[in-house]
Amino acid sequence: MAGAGLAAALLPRLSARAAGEPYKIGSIFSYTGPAAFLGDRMKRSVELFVEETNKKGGINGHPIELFLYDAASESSKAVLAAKRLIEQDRVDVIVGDGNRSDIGLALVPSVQRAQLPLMSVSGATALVEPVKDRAWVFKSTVNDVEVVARLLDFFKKKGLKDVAMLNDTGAFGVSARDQLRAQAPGAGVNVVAWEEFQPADNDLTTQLTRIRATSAQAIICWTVTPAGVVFLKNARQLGLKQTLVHGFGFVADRYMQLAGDAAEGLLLTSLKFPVAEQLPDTDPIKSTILDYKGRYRAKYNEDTDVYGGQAWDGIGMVAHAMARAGNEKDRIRGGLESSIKEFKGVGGVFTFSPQKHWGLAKSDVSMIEWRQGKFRLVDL
Amino acid sequence: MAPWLAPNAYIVQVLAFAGLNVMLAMGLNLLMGYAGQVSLGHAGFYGLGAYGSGVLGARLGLSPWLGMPLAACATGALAYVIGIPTLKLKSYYLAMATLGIGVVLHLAFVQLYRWTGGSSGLAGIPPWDVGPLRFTSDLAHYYLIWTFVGVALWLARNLVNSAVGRALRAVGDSEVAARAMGVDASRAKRSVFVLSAVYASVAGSLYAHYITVISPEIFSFLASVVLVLMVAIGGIGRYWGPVLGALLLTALPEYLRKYGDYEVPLYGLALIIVMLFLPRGLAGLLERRARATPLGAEPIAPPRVAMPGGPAPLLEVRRVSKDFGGVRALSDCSFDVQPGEIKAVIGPNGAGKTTLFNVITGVYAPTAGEVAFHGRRLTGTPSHEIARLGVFRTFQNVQLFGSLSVLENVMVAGARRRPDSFVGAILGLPAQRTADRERLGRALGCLALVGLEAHALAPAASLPFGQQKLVEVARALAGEPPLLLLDEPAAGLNATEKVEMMRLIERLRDLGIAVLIIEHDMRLVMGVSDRVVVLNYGEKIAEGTPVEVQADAAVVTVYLGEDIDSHAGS
Repeated sequence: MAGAGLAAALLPRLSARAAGEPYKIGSIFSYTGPAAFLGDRMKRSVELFVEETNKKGGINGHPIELFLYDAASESSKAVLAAKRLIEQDRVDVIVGDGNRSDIGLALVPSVQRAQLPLMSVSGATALVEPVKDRAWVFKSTVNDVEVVARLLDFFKKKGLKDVAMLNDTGAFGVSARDQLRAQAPGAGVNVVAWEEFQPADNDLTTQLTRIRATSAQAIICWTVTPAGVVFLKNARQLGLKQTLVHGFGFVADRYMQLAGDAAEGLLLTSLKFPVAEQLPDTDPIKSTILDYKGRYRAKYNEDTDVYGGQAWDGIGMVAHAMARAGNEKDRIRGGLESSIKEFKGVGGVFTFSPQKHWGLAKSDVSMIEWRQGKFRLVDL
Repeated sequence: MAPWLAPNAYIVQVLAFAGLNVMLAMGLNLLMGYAGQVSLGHAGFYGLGAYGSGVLGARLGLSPWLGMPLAACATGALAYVIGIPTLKLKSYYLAMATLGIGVVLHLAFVQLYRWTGGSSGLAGIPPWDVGPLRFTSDLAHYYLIWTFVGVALWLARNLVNSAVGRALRAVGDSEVAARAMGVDASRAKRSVFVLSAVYASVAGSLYAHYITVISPEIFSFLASVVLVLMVAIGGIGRYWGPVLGALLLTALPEYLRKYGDYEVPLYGLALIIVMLFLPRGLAGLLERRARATPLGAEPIAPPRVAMPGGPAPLLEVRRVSKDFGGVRALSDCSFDVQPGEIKAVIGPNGAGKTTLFNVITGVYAPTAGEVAFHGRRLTGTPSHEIARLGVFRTFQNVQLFGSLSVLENVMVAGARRRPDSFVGAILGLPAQRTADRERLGRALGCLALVGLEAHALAPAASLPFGQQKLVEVARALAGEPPLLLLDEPAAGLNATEKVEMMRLIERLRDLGIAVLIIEHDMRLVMGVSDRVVVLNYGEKIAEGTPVEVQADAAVVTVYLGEDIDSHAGS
């Protein structure tokens, strides 16, 4: 078994000899442990990308040599993996940060000190902000700044003036609440109730009863936890007539199925990925998404998801920058800042700049709904 | 360990992380391996140290050099308070309680997000510094961490080699016996719980200011399990065990990274192999058969007990009753023991004899009545304090401390008059070492008295049953007690051994020790006792000299009309 493992590990290195000097890309994902449900498809997407690129002759004739390590959903493991990539494997760039915000944050001091570009695939804004302290970190995911802005636009368009916010007390929920607090006045939306719940709560009737007594026309729930299912079920039990909205952390078939009837007609803010097939053909990224989905399916005989797409975009943009700037660390960083303009990814159309290390805009966020067992596009 | 051998900063960082794990596992091993207390929540204390000084640094700008000791003190204090109720629990219940502590602490790190940054972690923790110099290289952190590890190893070494360390092992082996030998088991367990929590806290602070970003997941239940695994793989209860376990479990996954997808199965396989072929852990590989080190102490013969003045009897049992639910094990039982007297308690099985011993030694509180020693009321006094007053015992089912040598077993009881302080023990104070050297001599003297000095260094559990009973007597003797309770000293002994036991009891009489003895062997009872108490169904039915008791009609009836002498050797 050890022999086979060794052979498998050496394989990419041997094939790398085929052409010019290889470009070394390190990757850290959690494909074991609790975060593996995200990391598994991310890892496979990166492997798929490297395989296809090398088959086509690599980046400008330089094959990609991939150094892939498991963070096992643990920060300290990820820190060691990053140190190994930096000091021992001497990679040019790292794609993937253990696919969880807290793990990614733990890697920031290491890559900052080593002056090595890191393409994060996690959500937290703190990974790339403030840019002056995060000069070497980029991310291929959307920020709640854009998502909340997009949601407020939608409310305005639909004439919904009074809304209620119900967020979990985790970082994801709290961050969105702060965004809403900052942006709502400017958008002319009146938040009439601010409610919170613990991520592990299994009853939200108290909060919902209080919201029922207000003039709220829509209720926004912001969480990635199963408490979001409880929200839908409790709202149904209380007979609430308000429009129910979930954030972008809740776009999962599994959650919809758990909520059953209560999820029918639920609005969600989302990237375009889940509704790619329904996008008009003029959409800039429709073909990118379908292409990625198809390749993934052909290789692994299973469907990928939006998270795998984040890793696909991450390595895609890094390869794009390397093709233009070469493999020196500061040139890769410069290349990401200067050459990622209107880059058509799976998550959206990316534009990086020296002031902005996350690439998506509110136009990449769409409103979708869950109806008759499927996500459907409501508003582009 | 030498970083100059390390080719790059990655290896240095692996070794630095290994140092943190050594520190954590070392503390946990003191708790689990020595004191026998399982903890499944240790990562919680690790997190307290990390978040304690991390939050103080990131939010209030406090230097790590202040934050670390503050966090360590707070963690120690919390462990002390938590230890009061939880350490009363045993085995699975203790494991569950500590697991709960770990989960609660982890939840606190997540939920107090205004301070801790919640589940996405706390960034911006200030790095270690000395004046204007900031620690930036991994090598600097490596030296810093291993300096602390060195201190932790030294303190643990002192503890393990002290009388307090010995007492801890005794508590881990048999808490009841340890208490009966004058060991304050609750205090000992609490002290080591605090020490191991402080170790974890310091490791946490070292981590927080090294990586400068922490998140709750590092301190989750899973992390606690890995720490237990390090201790188990290394060799539980062995000094070098946690060092080896932590080094292996930190370095192995890193080494296996080169095998890609095979990393996890290979790791599992390696653990299985270690557990299968090294049941005593990695440290078992380092152990030699027996230590042939010279003892360096001359035996000191046990002194004669000074006759206490005053007319009061040595021990007074006054109208003692003990109920277990609806069962009355002792009923209104009264008798005295005079200084230097040998008194036997006899009666059929289930007559309440051992219950009587347990009431006298404070294992059970009597339902009614009281016991006094030297005129001082014992009822309500904890077991170990009764021992310290001078009442020692042996056990019907031998309760030697299995992880200790014969000599160490005896030395545990030798600390009764002046128990060493925990802090003195971890600092390795010379005064305590000198005191222990003297204890060693006294223990050898006690072993000589029972004729086992040649077996002093043998593991207690390796001796034949008869000799184990003698070790128990020697151990009780080492407390230099005015009163000794022997629970069936002759049971299970062969004829020769019984004669030896009789001689031994006579020698105890010569030393002026009063002996209260439970025994079924009538030849021994009638041969050595000054007076005999007969119990039946918890009631005293007769008391007198052996001759009087044998003639007592009630006693004869209890023994089914048989001649008492025919019970000899049964």
